[in-house]
Amino acid sequence: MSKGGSEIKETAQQRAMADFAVNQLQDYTKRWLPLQKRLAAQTVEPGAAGSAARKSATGRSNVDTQIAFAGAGEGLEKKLAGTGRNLGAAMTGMADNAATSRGMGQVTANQSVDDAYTETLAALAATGRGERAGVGNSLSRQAAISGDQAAADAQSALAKETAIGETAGSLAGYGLQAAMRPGPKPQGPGMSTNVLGAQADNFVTNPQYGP
Amino acid sequence: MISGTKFCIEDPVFVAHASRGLRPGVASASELVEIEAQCEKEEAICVACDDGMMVIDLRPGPEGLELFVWLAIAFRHGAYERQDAALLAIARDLGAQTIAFVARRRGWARRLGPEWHRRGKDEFMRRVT
Repeated sequence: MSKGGSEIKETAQQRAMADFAVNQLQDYTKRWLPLQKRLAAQTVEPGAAGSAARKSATGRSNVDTQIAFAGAGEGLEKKLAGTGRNLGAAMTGMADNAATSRGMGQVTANQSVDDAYTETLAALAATGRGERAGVGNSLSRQAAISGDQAAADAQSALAKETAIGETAGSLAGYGLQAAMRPGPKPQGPGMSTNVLGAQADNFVTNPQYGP
Repeated sequence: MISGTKFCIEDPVFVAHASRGLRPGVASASELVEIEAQCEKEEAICVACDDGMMVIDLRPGPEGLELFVWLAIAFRHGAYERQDAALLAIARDLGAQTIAFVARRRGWARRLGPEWHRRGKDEFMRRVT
């Protein structure tokens, strides 16, 4: 510290604003952390076999399949067979077709859950931290995806099934961390803006990912 | 995910974790420790997504509250371009009127859009719209 009192003192207004800023930051953290935790739990919990989320996704898939096939014609079966997938080649009736689709819907729902769970674990490993979990508000969406598949004709169902993989992939991988330590502590000496703020340019200067 | 972005709030220890691969001279160990300490005191927040991480705080600025970026590390190329809007969204959510950071290295002036203005020698700021 230099002597001679060159330091500029804060006004009361500035101090009040600084306090407000700190509170605002802490409120922000408290506002978002519970949401993060909830989303992470939605991803991790469904991994368990027979979990409520998994059952819910599968159950919804079944219902959607029944509705979708109630008014469908035989053209659907041909289209299914035409996709090259091992779905309806041996089918002769709508009941079989619907049953297979339902089974496929269940598999899809389960697979989507598994994908999200697996990718969550990959995210955990990638960060090297046991707390990081992928965020997936994805189960309801996965159920919806299975429903979409059943509701569509064979060709669009195939397209949507492709989309399932993309959706599951995009939903997973966003992290959640454990809560920041509670209880604000007295403010210590501040950092030097001129020194530390400079690190912001790592967005550009990171040697591995420079411009 | 905070403020509708891909960023999530990370533990303070994430600062050390993320900065392991930094080129020497970009940030000293003591600086990183200090940043981490600020996060532990809840006077700064460490946020991260697949693209990168940032440590931000909120402080009085010339036009009201200012979101200040202490540290930003890209995990992959193009992070800034992809996450610039996210930073803006977070700032908006925090009630900041401006965003600022100090660039230690040159080149930012060319990279930043017209909404950014130089403030002082090596600091950049933009208004939150």
